[in-house]
Amino acid sequence: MALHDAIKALLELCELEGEDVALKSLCSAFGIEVPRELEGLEDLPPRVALAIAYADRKLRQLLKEVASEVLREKLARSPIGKLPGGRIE
Amino acid sequence: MTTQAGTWPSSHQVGLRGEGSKRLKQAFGLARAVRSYPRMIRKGDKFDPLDVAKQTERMVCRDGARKYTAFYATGVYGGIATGYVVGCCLRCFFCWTDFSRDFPEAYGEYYTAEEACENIARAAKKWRVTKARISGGEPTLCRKHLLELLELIEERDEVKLFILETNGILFGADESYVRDIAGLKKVYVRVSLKAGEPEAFEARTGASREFFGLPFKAVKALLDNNVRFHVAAMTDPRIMPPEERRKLIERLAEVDEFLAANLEEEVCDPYEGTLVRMQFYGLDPVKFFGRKGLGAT
Repeated sequence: MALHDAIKALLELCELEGEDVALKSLCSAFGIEVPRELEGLEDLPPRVALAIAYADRKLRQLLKEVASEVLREKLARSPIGKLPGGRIE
Repeated sequence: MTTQAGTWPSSHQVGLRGEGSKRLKQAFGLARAVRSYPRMIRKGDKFDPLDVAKQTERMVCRDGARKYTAFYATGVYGGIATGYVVGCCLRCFFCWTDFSRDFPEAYGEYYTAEEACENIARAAKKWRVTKARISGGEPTLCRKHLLELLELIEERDEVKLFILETNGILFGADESYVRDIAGLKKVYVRVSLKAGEPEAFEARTGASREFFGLPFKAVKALLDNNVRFHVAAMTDPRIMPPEERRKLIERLAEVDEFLAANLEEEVCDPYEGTLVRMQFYGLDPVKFFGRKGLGAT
């Protein structure tokens, strides 16, 4: 899988579980190989790993490009789905 | 805050002079401060969060030490050692923390940065985790304590990553605070936004709407200073309408598109403190969470 596609898949998977599992576990559960560029970050939560990768100048541009695509989709949908109870007035 | 201090008798009225009068004035001043301190909010309450930060610091910071209620490890972030601090400068009605947020003078014990670091490192070692944080209250209160603690954590082998969870108010109010943490290698920040519009910010947190922009300023400052971080937001659709969520994400995207794409969207859970705060605010937790959401069968 190309790095661009892998990062996009990870950003999307973060919507399911971005904080409480390790990046390597999330990748393993969805049959994605941890990108070589994220080596050393496998034990961190995926969202944290991606944010740390973003601080790396070499990866920043690619992550920005992927983010633009993901953002459009993120804005187009409700994030959490149906929750019990109801909205407050 | 709308709570009024009421009318207190003067020292003259109670017939005291000199040292006695001074002590009585101090006692009355303290009582007035205790009565006017914002605790749980009702609809329409509002306060200056920077002022509340200062008031809270007087209760939870002392000579570089800070009040904590516990040191432990928990499963979030895949396992993390945690120091639970007392005191916050916001009063979100959906807040999950215990009542030490509302009554900081009644909870916790003071720990120096050395003692807190030792306890956090011990918890990390005991539970075999390499991440650490301080949580519960707002970690950026008691600046001296936090900076000393973070410096000490840098030297500890037990901790590889320190996650600083903040509401961004104090970072947004003073960029020099962000610069103070920018050089620390183990520090990672999670900024939690509470609203996408000033009116909603005031209604949910009790902090006046004019301070709405501070957490966004914090985000910009963190980015400008190359601090490693991500942004979270309470976008639970039962609390935040879709249009406001959109505005929040768009505002964040104006700062940086990656931050918006990597936004952690929080859901409100029925912790004990949340249920009580909601009820005090005037919401029915059963209607909010539903019987199913509260675990009823």
